[in-house]
Amino acid sequence: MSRSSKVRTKPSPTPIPRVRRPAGAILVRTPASQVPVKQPEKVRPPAPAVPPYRFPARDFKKIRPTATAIPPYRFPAKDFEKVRPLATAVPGTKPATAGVSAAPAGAKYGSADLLRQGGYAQAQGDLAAAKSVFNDARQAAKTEKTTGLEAQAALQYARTIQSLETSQLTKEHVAEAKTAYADAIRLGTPQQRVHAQNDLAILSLRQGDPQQAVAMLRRVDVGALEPGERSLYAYNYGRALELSGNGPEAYQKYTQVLEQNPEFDLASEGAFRLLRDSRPARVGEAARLAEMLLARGQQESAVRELRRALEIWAAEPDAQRLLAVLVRYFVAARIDPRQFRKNEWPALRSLSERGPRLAPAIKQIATAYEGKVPTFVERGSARGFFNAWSPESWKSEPFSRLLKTIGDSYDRAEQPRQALALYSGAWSLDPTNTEAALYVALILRDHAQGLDPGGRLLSRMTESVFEEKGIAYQKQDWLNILRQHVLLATLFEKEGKWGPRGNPRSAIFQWTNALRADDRIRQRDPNFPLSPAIYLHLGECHMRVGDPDLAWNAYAKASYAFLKSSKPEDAAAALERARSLAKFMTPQQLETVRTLENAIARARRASG
Amino acid sequence: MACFLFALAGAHGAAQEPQAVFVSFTFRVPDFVTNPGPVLAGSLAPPKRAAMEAQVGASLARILAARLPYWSFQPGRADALPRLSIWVEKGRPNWEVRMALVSLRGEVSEAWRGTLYSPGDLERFEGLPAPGTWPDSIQAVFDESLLEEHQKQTILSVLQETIPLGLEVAPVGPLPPPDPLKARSVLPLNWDKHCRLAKSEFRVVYRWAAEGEVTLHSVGIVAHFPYKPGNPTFEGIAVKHNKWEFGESMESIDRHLKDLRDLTPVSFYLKRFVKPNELPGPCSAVDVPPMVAP
Repeated sequence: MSRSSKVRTKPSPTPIPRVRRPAGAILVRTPASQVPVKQPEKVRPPAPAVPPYRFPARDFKKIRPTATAIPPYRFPAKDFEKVRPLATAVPGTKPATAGVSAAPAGAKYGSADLLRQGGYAQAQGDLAAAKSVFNDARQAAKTEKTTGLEAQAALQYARTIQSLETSQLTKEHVAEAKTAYADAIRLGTPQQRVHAQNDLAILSLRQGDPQQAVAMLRRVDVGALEPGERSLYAYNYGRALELSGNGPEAYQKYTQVLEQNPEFDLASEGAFRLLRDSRPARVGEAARLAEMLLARGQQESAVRELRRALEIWAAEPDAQRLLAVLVRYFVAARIDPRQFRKNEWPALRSLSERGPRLAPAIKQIATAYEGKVPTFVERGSARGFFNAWSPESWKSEPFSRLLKTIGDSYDRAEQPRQALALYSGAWSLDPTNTEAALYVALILRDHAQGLDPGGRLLSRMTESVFEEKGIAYQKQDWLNILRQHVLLATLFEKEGKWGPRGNPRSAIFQWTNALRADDRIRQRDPNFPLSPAIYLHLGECHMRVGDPDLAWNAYAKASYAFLKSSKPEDAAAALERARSLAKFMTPQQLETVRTLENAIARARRASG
Repeated sequence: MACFLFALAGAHGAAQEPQAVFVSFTFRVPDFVTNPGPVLAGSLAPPKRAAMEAQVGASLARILAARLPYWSFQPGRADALPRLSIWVEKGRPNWEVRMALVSLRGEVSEAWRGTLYSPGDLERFEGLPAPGTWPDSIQAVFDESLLEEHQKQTILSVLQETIPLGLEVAPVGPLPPPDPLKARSVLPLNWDKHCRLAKSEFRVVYRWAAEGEVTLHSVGIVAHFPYKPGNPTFEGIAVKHNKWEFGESMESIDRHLKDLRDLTPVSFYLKRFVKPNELPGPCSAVDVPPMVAP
């Protein structure tokens, strides 16, 4: 159904005058007029002498929000009496007796207005009045011969009945509701029809007849549903299947909902409820589902279900799969040592005591958070220390990322020794963790004096990272590979280790490989910002190892890249270095210099 | 004066809108603008700097409005309150975009962080990249790193705790309500724009005659109702009051129906956002949504 044909019961979009804010209700502007930020009594003056608002039934006449020409609806007392089986007379439902004199004699109320008034009565919790008004709306729509509105009124009428507490839902009510739903199905648009079918199925569930609900939901034309409603319908179907004892199909429906709409918490609860009831325990499936929710940003539901699952499955052989997903959460939430001690450790310790299978893995998480970790120089050497988290990649990959995250906390707290140990552990456990290797290089660059005075550690690390071709490149994390080469290059430059080319412990090796990584990134992302400094430093390296031709090329490229990066002064400086090699220049190179000079002059003029 | 009028407009315009939260951006690290690298060519003159700060602040306010669509985020000066103050800082080991909520009491929480430049990044540019690239870089980092899902949840909970959505609330139906089911109010949040809040939980703070402050823990019932009853100008969001909190004690609303008429609204806060899964489309198209299985 198109949206234009959908029944509207809202007020027309007449321009709305702004509500005048009463004295004392001040919003922010300057520090002197703050929002009440948890100190409302200080900000808001003492309550003005305005009596609490009362909203008796007679005020119904005032609530028409727009200036349409329809007079306020008068609840006809006799009609109300006639259709008032739900409850005894409720205050607020007798406005007719309150003298709604504004209604001109003989005024007709359209079904759309009645639908809106019914909605208001429902919002007030006045189901008796709502039922009465919706019934009037049905009659009015019938008179108007507007089947869409008649179906809508029937739907609202049935829903109002269904809103009753179960104890109040008599057989007569159920019969009335079913008749109204049948009318909606018969008269309604495709969308109204599926709404009525859906709600009728819910009525069956409330009556304890899930089979009937399943049968009804099977008939639903899913294509008639709005995209946003499909998850709801699929959830309802899943719930009906679950209650009728068809767990496998129900689980399928719930996971289908979560794939489309991971925020649908009822579906996630349903799916995990079925998993917890499954025999034998489906630990792996629970871990997979929790990981999917975590990856889709649903940390709250993922962690809640993980904790529940760990509680009941701590002794299962593959319970560590759940713990591995919890470790991923620690990484995503950047849980630092203080938060771990305060919020996570008590539950994990208790879990460890009850499930000895998990004890070693939990102990090693705690050890990492305490920072009691040695520095690992060799690739793989951390596997012995963290043996509960290796060698399988589903263990080592998340744990390596956890070590890196904890390392960040120690680095930020200016404890570089612990940071280095954790970063090196992260890299050693999972050599494809290029980010960890990058931070090892960073710590070694910034704290070489204290942590690695002889440079032995740096040498071993550098060799280990690059000794077996491809290890560092397996994950193709080119950005971190690029950063790592750049850091190492600047480090070796500082130490005056310019060459030779094939030696990983040389600046020229690192800058050359930085350029390769830069190219790989640019192949994937042509908009990746240019890296002029790589060329600039390569030029210096080429000069140092006695290759002026290559140096000239590198300086010229640096100049061009600076120019493209809107840094004309840097471009000029790089070009000046190229020009300093004038005695080696060919006529073609001289032409290049002139072109660059002109471009730099233009860029300078443009930037003022 | 301009600032005053601007804030005033925000305040009056908020009648159907949630509370305004101002957003300011500053290059708080002097080096970032004046001396970022050894071969620097990117310093900004003060007027350009101010213009860029305003430009970035406005774009970050738009991002916040899209990611946390419960308050009215507006660009504001660095002294407007309450505000989300955003700046650039050289952390260890990264350059970071940071954000803190500032209220009357000062910074409400620790700063939240997003990585702007990692180790090795600035060495590629021989200092900072050209100033023209900063706004885009800062916006991208703000959206993807500072507001990544977990941190976004943390920010949301601090805002929920601290910044009210609004000040006024009006009762729906007679007072005192005849039964607990009818203990309801309407919030001055325009349904057509904010129906996403229709199922959420709220803390509604009242002054209780001479007794003190009372909080009613309330929940949206996915229904709209004219606001303000008696003088309606738009459709607000209807809520049902469930719990009465006075002092440390939390009681069912059943025991305080008669007290409801002695309450004067002070403010209301978002307690927990609950996505109304069943709302099929834009707010304006919502009638009564289909039902959810028990």
